[in-house]
Amino acid sequence: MSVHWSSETMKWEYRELQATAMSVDYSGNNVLLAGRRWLAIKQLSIDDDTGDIIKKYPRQSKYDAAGAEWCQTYPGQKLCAIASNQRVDVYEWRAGNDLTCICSLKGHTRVVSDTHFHRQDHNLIATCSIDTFTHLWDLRDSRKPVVSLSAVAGASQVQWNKVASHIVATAHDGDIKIWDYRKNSAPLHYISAHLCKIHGVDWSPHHEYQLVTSSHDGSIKYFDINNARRPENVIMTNFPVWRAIYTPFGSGLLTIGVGWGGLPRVEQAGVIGIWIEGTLTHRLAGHTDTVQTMVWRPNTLPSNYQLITWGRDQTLRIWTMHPTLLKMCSHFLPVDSDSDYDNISDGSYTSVINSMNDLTGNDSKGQEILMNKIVHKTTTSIDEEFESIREMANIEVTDMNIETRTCQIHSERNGYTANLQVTFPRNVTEQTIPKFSWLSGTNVDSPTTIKILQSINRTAYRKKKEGHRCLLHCLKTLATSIDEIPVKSSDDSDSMKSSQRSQSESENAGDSCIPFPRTCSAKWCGVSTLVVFNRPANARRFSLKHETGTPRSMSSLSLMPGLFGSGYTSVSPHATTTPSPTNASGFPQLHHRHASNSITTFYFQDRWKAQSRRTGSMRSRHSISGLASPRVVLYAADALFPISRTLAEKYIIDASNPVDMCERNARLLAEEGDSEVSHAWGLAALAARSLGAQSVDHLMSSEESMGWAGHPLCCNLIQALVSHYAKSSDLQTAAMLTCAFSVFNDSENSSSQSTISTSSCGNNTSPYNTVNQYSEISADGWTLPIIIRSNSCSEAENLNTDYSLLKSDRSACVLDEATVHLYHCFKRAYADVLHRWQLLYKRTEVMKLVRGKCDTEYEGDARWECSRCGRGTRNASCGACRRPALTCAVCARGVRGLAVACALCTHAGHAQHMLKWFTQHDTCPTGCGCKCVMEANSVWKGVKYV
Amino acid sequence: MISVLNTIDTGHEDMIHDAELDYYGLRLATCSSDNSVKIYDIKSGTQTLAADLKGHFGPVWQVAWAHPKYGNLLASCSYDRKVIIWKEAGEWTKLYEYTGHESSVNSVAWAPAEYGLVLACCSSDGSISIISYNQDAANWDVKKISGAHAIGVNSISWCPAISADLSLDPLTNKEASKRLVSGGCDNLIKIWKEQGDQWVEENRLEMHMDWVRDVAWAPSLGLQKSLIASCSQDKRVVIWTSDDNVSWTPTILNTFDDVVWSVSWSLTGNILAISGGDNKVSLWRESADGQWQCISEVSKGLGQTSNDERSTL
Repeated sequence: MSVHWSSETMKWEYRELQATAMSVDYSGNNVLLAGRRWLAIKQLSIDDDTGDIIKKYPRQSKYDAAGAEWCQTYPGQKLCAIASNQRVDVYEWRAGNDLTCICSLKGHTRVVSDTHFHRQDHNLIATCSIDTFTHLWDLRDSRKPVVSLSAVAGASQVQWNKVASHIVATAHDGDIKIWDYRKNSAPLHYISAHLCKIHGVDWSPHHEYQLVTSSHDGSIKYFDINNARRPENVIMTNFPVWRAIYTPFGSGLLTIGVGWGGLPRVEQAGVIGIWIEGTLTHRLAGHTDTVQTMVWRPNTLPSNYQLITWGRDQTLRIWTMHPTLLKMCSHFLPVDSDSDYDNISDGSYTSVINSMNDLTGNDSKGQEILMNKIVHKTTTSIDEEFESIREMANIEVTDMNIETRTCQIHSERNGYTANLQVTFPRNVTEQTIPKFSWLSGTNVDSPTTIKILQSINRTAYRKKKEGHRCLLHCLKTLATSIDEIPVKSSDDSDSMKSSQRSQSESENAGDSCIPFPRTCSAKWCGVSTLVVFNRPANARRFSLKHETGTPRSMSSLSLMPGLFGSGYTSVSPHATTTPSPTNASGFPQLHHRHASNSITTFYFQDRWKAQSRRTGSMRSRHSISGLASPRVVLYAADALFPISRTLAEKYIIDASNPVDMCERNARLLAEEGDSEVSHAWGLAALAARSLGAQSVDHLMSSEESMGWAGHPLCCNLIQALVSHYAKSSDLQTAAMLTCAFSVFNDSENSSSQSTISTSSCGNNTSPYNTVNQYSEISADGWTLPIIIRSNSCSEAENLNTDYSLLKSDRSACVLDEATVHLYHCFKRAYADVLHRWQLLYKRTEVMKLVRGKCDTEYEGDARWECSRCGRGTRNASCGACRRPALTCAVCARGVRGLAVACALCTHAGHAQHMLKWFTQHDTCPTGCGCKCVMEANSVWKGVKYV
Repeated sequence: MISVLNTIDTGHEDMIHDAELDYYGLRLATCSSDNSVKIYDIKSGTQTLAADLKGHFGPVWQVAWAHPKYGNLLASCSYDRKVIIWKEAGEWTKLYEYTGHESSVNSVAWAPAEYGLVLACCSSDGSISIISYNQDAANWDVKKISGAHAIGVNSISWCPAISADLSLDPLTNKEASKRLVSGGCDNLIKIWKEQGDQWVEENRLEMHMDWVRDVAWAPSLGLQKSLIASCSQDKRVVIWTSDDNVSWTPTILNTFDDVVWSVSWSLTGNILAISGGDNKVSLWRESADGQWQCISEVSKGLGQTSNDERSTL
């Protein structure tokens, strides 16, 4: 929600000037308007808005003034620079009426896009141009630039850091470069900030490392230059943003939109937006056309910030910031008793109040102060202020200059450093508080710096109001505030250090640790499928001079020379940031695009070059890769493996009758034409017969049986067969053979138990009954307990009873425990293969023969209460009543076989009956009112992995 | 011997980094530098795009399918430091997002289904995370091995449950230990064993002279020994064998012309598929006399094989 707010205090219109640029001087009283024909200096005076004092100086030029700028330092306050075409003219405004050109800076070969005077040294000015260079000039020797910063793309903005005097930021298309002008060969940081051109860059007034960018893509991004991989914050607007500047107070942001032409909301042009904490809270409306420049009027009282704007509608306007707005930005506001709200219409004021009530909760302190104020009006001079400073813990005065009326304070505590500059205004009145600003080296985070400033300002104001010297108290406040910042943990301070010093290096190191992306791979999947992908044949690798093989880390992707013109390799500060805004308009996660581009670029550099020549046009990802989309090829490699799905389907598993099983399988393989394995099965059948025969013998004569047990046709043959096939990696034959003889294998196991305990033993050996088939079929992987043990369950129990006969002759074939264990592993592995082949019945048959231990895997068990006696049971019949435990809700008979139960109302019935019922009804057949079909499903949702 | 089953035009807008079929071989998941994961239904020579999963903000390095008994779950890992577990329930949605790593996550691997729903992932921040689903609490537990490999961990692989069981002495009636193998930028391969609720380093295997790019623990049946294959930036592939999963013996399988990127074991038969920076894929098998032999090779760009559907390896 934003408040539409028209609070301009003054407005002048100068159509005849046709000015295209505007600037306000150091004193805040003179406005320079520059156009093709005229330079004009307008004197501002709040008290006298009728007096329109303007001095015009003719300027004959073919070119518009692209930029105009006053030097913002006290010694250089008479200097102003006008950028026009390839030249920058520096004028001096002498004696208040004479505007003389003192030098022309000629060095750019294309249009100069921006100029910026150094914030402290009035002889130093930075200019940038779309000829890709950013020059720094010393006005005392203006023949050639003292420093030239070279980039690949044309520069559109140049901005000196507001805190650190040697840092300068330049904008190149969608990217930001941060330079230390003392080291001009390469930028300190390179920020791949936006997809479209950056229109505006503004450094934070409070923090050395923070800046905000505004771009044609409609986004405003906050960056910390030490951690520039991702913006700290992003504001998305739906219009291109021409400028975004910090408010000098608190944490707000002002924006100008641009390029409304063609958009329906033309009337919105000229509106200045005020953003607080990422939301558009106010709009300054008044200009009828696009606002070209906005600057904060220098040297205004902290309570009375003023914005000066020049728009394409040829009007100059001054706006005051409403006190509530300042408060919202967490700015300390000295409340004057005579503060007037006259400029603001009542209606809009109340709406401001209403909209912001919840945000102004923290201003109660300010009001207390207001009530307690004592007015003593005594003048304090700058000398007295400085003399008042005594030695204090944690506070060190590093510089004190009566001439410039400034002093610098250094404070350090708990790993935090704060460097504060205090500037006393020249035209000091009794209640003017000094200006506090942060200097470089401050490592306190920006919300805290704002809070500290707020409390210092509050102290200063209170002391001034009381007529005391304020500096000492302000420093005390500073010391306490720094003390109160929570101590960082060691981790934090480490990361803080790294972020302060070598973030860009560590980022490099980060990519250099990440393995080079693989673009070719073969993976075995399923039973015998090979999944292969690789680069198309037309891909050629980028050849690196010093490396012959494929590079090992992703950082190598940055070492591609010649792609982006000479010089790029040296200036690239971190590896994966390819410099130009490629591909994917509307692809929001810009900071991640690097790697992907680079890997494509690495192999398709020809295409990349061709692409990068087509500047200006929108590039889509499709055209960048140009090639056909990557392919994956699946190879069927069944022939490599001796196992076969068709055979698996046909194999007979009948452990209860091993002889028959072996013979039938031998015949089966003979039909399939695999004589070798067929022969093996034949041998197995012989062995089985001898073992089986022996069991009969055993009943008659134990001596004979002993003889047979040692016969090579028994155990040894089977073991030899199994191990032969296992070694030749024919898992299928090996596992099937162990299946055929699992009865014998298990004899050792069961011998330790009583031979009578058949059914319990049967349960152990076959945790997999047919229930599991259904559970595996269910799509969700959710073993459905609704399906109750079927008839085949009882068959399984029957089988187990059969075993008991055979198991009794355990002495027949004794395998050592390790071999038995191995054979069970074969069976499990083969069951897994069958599962992958989706031969679920076959799998279950195999798993039945696997010895227990996997009970945990079997989760789909169901319990129910007997419908008569109420005892819990797991079986189909109740142990106490000896009747079927479940009664069908439809036919009212006991249920044997498949049953279905509702999870919610627990009514059950024959599966057939229930299915039929629910084709026609959706409520429970018992009439309990449960909508089983719908509601029971919802019971299961959210239970497991849903 | 080997025939093309299917050629899938992935429609990815950038290079792909991994592709895997699900348990049944019915669906293919691919991932790419275009930050997306795609899932295709594969049916006898045709494919249909089933899902295009967007959730990563960086190139996606690897995908892995979970065992179907846990539902249709797919894990993916990316340069954006995240692991996402996707679930199909009607349509594909994010089930869980793991953001515990501070650098690119290079590899993901599901544990054998017998261990429950457990995922291991490793990152360039040098750590390995083992994420397991706690069924009772319906949440995900994370165990982290910090500083597993200096500089970074490139690959991870689980010891198959059956291999683990094979090495177990059946008489002790104990649960087989869970093991993991990882390869990293410190040129080492490390074997990790779960003890109690901790993962401890059981062994470190030194042989490679440059970054280890991939490791794979073979589901080696019939050999009665464990096999691990590892490949490295030093262009070598090494096969490690062990009888007891404790002491390991290296054998250099081959030294290739270029960096080797991936090794993969077949489910049965111990056939190793190897691929690398030279764009070639080769298949290897141990002969009866214990020598590793190349049984098949493909060198040309597979992107070109669409016109030649019957091409063989």
